[in-house]
Amino acid sequence: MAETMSCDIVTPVKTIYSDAATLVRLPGELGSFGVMQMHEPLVSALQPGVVSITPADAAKTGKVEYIVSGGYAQIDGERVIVLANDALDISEIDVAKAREELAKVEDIIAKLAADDSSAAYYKEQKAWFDLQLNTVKG
Amino acid sequence: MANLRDIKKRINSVKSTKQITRTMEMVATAKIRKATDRVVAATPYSQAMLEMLGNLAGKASGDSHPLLANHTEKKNAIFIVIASDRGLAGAFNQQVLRAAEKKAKAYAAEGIQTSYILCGKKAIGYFAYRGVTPDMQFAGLSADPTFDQASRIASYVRDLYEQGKVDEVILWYNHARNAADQDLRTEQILPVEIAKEEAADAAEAEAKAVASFDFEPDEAAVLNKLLPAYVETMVYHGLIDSAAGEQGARRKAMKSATDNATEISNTLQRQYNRARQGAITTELNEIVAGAAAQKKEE
Repeated sequence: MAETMSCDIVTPVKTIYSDAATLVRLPGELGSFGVMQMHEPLVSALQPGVVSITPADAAKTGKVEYIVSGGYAQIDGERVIVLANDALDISEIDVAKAREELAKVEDIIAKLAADDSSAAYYKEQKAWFDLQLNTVKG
Repeated sequence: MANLRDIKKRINSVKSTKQITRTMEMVATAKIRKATDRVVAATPYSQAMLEMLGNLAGKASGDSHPLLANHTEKKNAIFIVIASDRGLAGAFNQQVLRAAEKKAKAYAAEGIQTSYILCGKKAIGYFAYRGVTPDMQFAGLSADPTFDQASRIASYVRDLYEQGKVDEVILWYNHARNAADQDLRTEQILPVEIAKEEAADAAEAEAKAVASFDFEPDEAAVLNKLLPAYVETMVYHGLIDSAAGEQGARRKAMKSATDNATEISNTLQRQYNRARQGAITTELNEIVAGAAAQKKEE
């Protein structure tokens, strides 16, 4: 069995995932890449996408997949930390709710003045819900 | 001596106040737990972020990102003041509001304009009374701050700073040192001071220096994404820390109010007993005197 490393997905509000893993696949800014133990130290920006984790006891539980709203990953051979503003277990995506929220956000964006300072914030929100819906469809 | 009915009335009123303060104390105690849990849950993220920023620190300098750059002339400042929505928390709100106002006055004397982002009804009320119109205000969220709120504040100040309209952003809040005590904290949000963060984490930074990190796509790009998020994290941390402090302050204030009420009601009860005993004695004296007078007549 492959050597394991610790893997955490943390958001500002709480820790979403924390367990030992053998392989972590990350949606890097320059393309998706996989990380195993002894990977060279690396800090990578992430784009919105899917983080796929093969836990140490994958035989029992199978792969775990999370969507993240972009962020960063810090890798130092023994540990992978994923920092993201939002992260969600794929199996927990609520399509109806995401659609509803998306509609709300789109509504707000449509009404915003061009130079409104919160425009960037709502665009991020929209991207996050878009990602949820696209992931489920895909 | 006050009459019996008046004293009884006062005893009842003090007792009902005591019931209220005791309930508030218990509610605050329950909420401290929740608020502290939230701070604990948020810690891994801010710690990981500091660590990452520490790794970058050696490679970043003042001109590598607009949020790091010190503006040569300081003309405009923004104070993000975090207070609470509700009072009855001792000096909790006064402490932070007064300090911020004092600093703003000192700034005004130096010719620096200060504008405000206010969180909490108490902060809004305090500055509205002084004729200040805040740039942004948030009410009703002090007990349960959201990350969205922090994002909005952060993106607002970031934009202004990058456009050069603001030269300094300072965060004012109460840090919950423990369940009972709060410290006033003042943190400079912008320009971001990386060097200081690294120093706080010196031992770790040294250990990491051996395993020097690669950056993907490159340092500048990572810095570009990391700094804005760092600002958000600082603001969010201030908000949740202050929420925990608020409950702590309220519990302490309500505990001393309950203690005072107990003391007053004891004193009043003694007064009441003495007055009642006095009345009984007077009555007895009158009866005895009356009886004696009748005997004489016989």
